[in-house]
Amino acid sequence: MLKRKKFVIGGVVLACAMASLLFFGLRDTTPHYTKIGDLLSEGTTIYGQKIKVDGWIVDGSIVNEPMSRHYEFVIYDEDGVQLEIVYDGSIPDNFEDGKSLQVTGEIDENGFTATQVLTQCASKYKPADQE
Amino acid sequence: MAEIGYIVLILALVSSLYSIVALVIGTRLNHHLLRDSGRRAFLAACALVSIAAAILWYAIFAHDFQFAYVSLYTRTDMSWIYLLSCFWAGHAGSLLFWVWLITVLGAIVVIRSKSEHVKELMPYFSAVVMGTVAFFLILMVFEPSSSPFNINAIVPPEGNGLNPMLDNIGMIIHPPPLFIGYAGFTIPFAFAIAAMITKKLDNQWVKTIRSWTLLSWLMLGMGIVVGMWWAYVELGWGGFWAWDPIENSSLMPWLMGTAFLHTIIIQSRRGMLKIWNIVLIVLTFTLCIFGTYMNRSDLLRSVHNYRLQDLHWYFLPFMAIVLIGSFGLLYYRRRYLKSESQLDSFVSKETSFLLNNILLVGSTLIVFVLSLWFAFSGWFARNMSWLHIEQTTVEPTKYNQIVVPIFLILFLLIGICVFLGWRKTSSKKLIRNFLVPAIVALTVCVLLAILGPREWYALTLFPLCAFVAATHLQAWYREARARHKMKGVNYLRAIGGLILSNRPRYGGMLVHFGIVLLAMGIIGSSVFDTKDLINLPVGSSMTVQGYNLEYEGLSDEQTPSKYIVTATLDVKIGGKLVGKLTPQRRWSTGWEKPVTEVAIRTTLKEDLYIILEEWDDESAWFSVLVNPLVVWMWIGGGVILLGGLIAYWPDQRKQRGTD
Repeated sequence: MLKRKKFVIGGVVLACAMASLLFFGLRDTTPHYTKIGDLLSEGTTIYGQKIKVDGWIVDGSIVNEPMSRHYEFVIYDEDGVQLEIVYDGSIPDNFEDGKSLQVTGEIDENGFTATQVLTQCASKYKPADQE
Repeated sequence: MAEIGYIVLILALVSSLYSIVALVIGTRLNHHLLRDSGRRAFLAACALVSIAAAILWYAIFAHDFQFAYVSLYTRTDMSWIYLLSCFWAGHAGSLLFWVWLITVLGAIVVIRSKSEHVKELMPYFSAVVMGTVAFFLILMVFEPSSSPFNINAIVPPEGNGLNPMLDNIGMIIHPPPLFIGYAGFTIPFAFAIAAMITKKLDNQWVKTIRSWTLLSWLMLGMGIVVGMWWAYVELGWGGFWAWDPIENSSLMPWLMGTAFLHTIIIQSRRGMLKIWNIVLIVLTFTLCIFGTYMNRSDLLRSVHNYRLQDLHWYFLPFMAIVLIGSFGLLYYRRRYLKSESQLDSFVSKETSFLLNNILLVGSTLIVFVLSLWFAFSGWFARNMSWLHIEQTTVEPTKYNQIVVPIFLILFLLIGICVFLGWRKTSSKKLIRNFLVPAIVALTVCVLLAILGPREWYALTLFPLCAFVAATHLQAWYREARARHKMKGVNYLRAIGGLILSNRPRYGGMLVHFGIVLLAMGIIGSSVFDTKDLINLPVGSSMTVQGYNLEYEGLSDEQTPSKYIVTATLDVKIGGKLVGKLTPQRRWSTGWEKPVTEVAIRTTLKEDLYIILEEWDDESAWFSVLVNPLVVWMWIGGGVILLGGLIAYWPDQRKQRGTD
């Protein structure tokens, strides 16, 4: 019986170790805003912090000097609230007007600077009405 | 035609529902006629689903654009092989593909059931399979977004065609193994439920499902590795795993299935862990269903999500029935599931399997929580604001921090388990066995310290790989030597004979060895990768990570289906030309946006991976990535497949004797 107890204790210790890995890992995950209004209402408290925001590209808002690797564009959310984004880097193949985006970056008094821009995947499971 | 397909689905649904009722009641009341009609209805449902699948395939090949599904995913100018893959290119078609595979596999089991033991399980096994089939059919019949037989009010002259990003061999070789894996786990699950209902809970059912479990596990694993390869060569971000929910949804059942695959060995050998095994297979099956739900409903905001709103009403009740039904049944049958033996020693194979289970199930749960954290944290933020949790997403780096340590322990365990015997192993003998692998690991560590790379993770992780590889090679060498001495055959024949003598053991060892190679590739390419964005004027050159790249210029060509822009780069190492790389952009007819075609130079040491980003008349931007050891992942995948097949291949002699 003593042996069985040891196994149980060993298992519990392991489980606790994994749970604490999870718990401490989840403490500083990336804030993710599905509404731009929520992001803007945070004010200066989130300045300089890495955040994610979802939105669609406003038609005709993409400004890009060819060969500059510099992009400026505006996204809007389901409430119509808009946010200007500045981004330097590579854009996905299907980056275009109206596209659903997930933008990662940080905001400060000068606006939102993106470090990563993901477009809604050209997934095989995508229905036509979202094209 | 499309209406016929829809009617066939309804008939299949009716047939499957009747089959469940007839099988269960017929068996309960011992009414042979009713039970036999249930069995026939089972086969009829399987045949009807096959007919529905044949109708969809026919429509795809006949370019029948009356089918909304066909017009959405195909064009008349597509080659037959891609037309073939259009079957599973969309949500509705992939559901039909999945349920079709379940019926095929289920019918094989039912038709092949010969032994007394299996025959007794068959009625309930068939009923559970039909229950799963009915779920998919209900989804396709009643949920308009999920029917492959929707009709276009106006028949278009030409279809949309497959998204050019999916126009890759990966579309043909990635989804089928994945879906065979998902569908395949229905079989051991149905056996588990049938064994519980009939109280045939000795260790026989576990032996019966071994090969089905192994096949499903192997196919799911292959689907995942091929998916990684596809993402790497096609998507042009230079990575192969992003911890996106779509990837996690296939990883979770695979991890849980891996745990199950190990503990059923303990049950069939020692009669232990009986309850645990049923829990594992129920969860593995549920995770297969859950993954699909997670990716196609609007539960999450991943960029891969399908975001269908009404799927909750189908998936949630089904998963609830599966979980409550299975665990309720398990509770009522618990006294039939008493363990036959006890753990004898800490240092034994059983202990290492237990440890492996805790880690595998733990990591599955962790991946589950992390994948859904966006939904969980959103719920907390809205409903329990006093917790001060805001809605967040877990980034890939975070996953690595949390999950990778667990995987490393698992990996170490792979190395240790080779020398562990059943019941009890003497610690002294164990330590002696680890002497050579430990020396090998130390040597690798010292060599790395001298030659570089010298980062602490290189100095720990690669020696770990070497240790695990050495334990396997040493065990193999010893056993081959013993056979060589005993039978007087040469080493090659000794190794061959060894494998044939105990295929599960050596197949398994080969799978573990494949995992070492896979791990080596993953460590090398995710820790030591470099990425540079360079601008090269035509005719000029630049050296990146030891590669001298000279940009020759651009060319373009028009093919019947594509307009292709190609940049040509000479690759030199130490002044010597080693090859030309031609990254491209391709515009497919009918699609406004181009698709990036990366150019890759693969060696055993590293991949040179170049993306053509942007260009004008004078110069071009390139992303230049150097990913060390990537090719070892694909080699490792091949070794895992080989090992899995060796372990899976039915043993003719044994089978004649027992089944």
